Amino acid sequence: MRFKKRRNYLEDIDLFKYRSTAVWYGILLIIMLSLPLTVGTYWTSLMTLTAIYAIVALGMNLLTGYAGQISMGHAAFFAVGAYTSAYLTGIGVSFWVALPAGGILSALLGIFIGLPALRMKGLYLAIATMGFGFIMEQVINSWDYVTHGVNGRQLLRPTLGPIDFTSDKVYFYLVFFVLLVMLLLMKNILRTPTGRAMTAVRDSEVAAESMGVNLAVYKTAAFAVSALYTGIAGSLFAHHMLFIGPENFDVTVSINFLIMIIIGGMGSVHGSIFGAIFMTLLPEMIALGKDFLPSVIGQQSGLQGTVYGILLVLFVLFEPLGIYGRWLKVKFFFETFPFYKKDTFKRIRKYTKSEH
Amino acid sequence: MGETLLKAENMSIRFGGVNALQNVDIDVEKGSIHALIGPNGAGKTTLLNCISRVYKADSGKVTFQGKDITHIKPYKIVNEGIARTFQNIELFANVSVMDNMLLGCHSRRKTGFFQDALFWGKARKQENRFRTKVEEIIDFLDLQAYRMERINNVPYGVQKNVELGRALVMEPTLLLLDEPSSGLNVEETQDLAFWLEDIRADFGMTILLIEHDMRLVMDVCDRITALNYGKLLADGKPKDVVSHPDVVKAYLGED
Repeated sequence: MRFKKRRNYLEDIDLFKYRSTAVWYGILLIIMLSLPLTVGTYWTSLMTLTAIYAIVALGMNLLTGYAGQISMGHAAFFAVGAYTSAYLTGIGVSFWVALPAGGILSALLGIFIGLPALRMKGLYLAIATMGFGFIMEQVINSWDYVTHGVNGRQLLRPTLGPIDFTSDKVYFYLVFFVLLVMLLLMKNILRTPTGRAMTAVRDSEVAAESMGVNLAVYKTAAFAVSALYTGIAGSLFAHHMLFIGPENFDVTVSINFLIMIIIGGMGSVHGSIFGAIFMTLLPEMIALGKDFLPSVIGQQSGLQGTVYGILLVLFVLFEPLGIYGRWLKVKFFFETFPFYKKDTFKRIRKYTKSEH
Repeated sequence: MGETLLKAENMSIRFGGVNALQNVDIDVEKGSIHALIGPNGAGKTTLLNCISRVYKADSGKVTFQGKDITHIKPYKIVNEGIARTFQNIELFANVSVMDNMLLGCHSRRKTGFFQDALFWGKARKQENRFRTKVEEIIDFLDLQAYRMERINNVPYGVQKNVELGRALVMEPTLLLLDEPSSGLNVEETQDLAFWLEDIRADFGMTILLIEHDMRLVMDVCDRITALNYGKLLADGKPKDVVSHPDVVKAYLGED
């Protein structure tokens, strides 16, 4: 067991609990920064995608994991970020304006979508947000002037002074930097009154209200921040893929975002990252594994969906805290070795209450 | 007699065909420990809920420190100086004891969302101030051992205390406690009796509590209001109220 002698109250919420934690994260950072130099373009591109999904997962987790408001329409916010960026850069606005613009527009839409959430919970909210996702799909298909409909839009990678982000490797550093900033902001939100008020809304609305939490404000804020994250990720995604069309933002994308945080771990920042890694790697693994399976199974078109579904059910049943829950257990095992008891985690139940 | 802190007049509320409260009046004096008693279903919690704006009373008027708070927004009640606990523990179950109590500071937050996101300067100082306050209350209620435990993992009696602590962190003028001793064992109830008196003496808070443990009520309370079937039965000094014929009848029945 490790102990830490605290000298002031703020040490409780330091980003790194022990000095060793900071060192490990430092090492991880160096590895992440050097990986693109050693692996090929393909893997770098996957890492970029992971970082983009991680930003989405952070936003999703704030809304669903922390504030307890489920959303099945996040692809819409992703689309708003992507198309805003595509349109603005298309008419000659700089990427460095288009990126935050995509996020902010998405956040404004998030406020608007958050309004029905003030009256709906659980499944009803899921259906309502899903409906919003469908509407956005139709908008993308029909609003040719901005989205170019089913033909999709081409984009270019940005430049900043002498730095050209055109190559996949350089672009990765840009996305990774944005992810780090978003991570830090998320951590700050979660350790200050804003984040606490959101978790309060999730766990007991009546108590939250009696502490002075204005439910309407915090639910809407959760939607707005979540949409901001997703919008920024959408913009980065568009400039990563260099081509966006309606198929990038359909309902399965929304569902994938939700699966990502359920499998990664609801209500945890680590979980968001795990979920994003998982979500990017799984299709690759399935593609690789296909050849080793009997062709009856391997060549089925619904293979990926089936694997997702099975994994989701298994996680919900056996590890409601997702990969992060598993991570905690492994960490706890080593920290308390040899005193680990299985029952320690017995009381940890699911984070979100879908209905009550 | 001291000045009146809280005055609720003619409180009535109906749930369908049930008259949960019928023209109930209650006066809480500043600096007193005031008990609300009555058999199950008497309307005690309903009255508390109407005062703290969890329910909206059909009619009646609540005055607190001379201000009409009958129609105030539920989340603004804490700013007036009223904090409460709940009968069936309403803690934030998935976060730590510390975070639960920190929520009590919410009404005093001065930072906006963006300052929080940057967590620098003002936000940092504020967080330190909040945490200092919470640690003070943790000391007061002997909760040190559970500071970082998740609420799910702490025993029931401790959860009760955390809820009391969270209300104390709100620094209210009036503390509304809904059955603070239910589910506590004898020692815990004794601790509670001491704390109630300390809360009044050290923090200068006035307490209105619903309580079934008559020994606790007789020990610490200055005044009792008894309810039955949503109506006022008796109100006055503890000794007078418990020997009041209507109260005896309500609890023990007629022969």
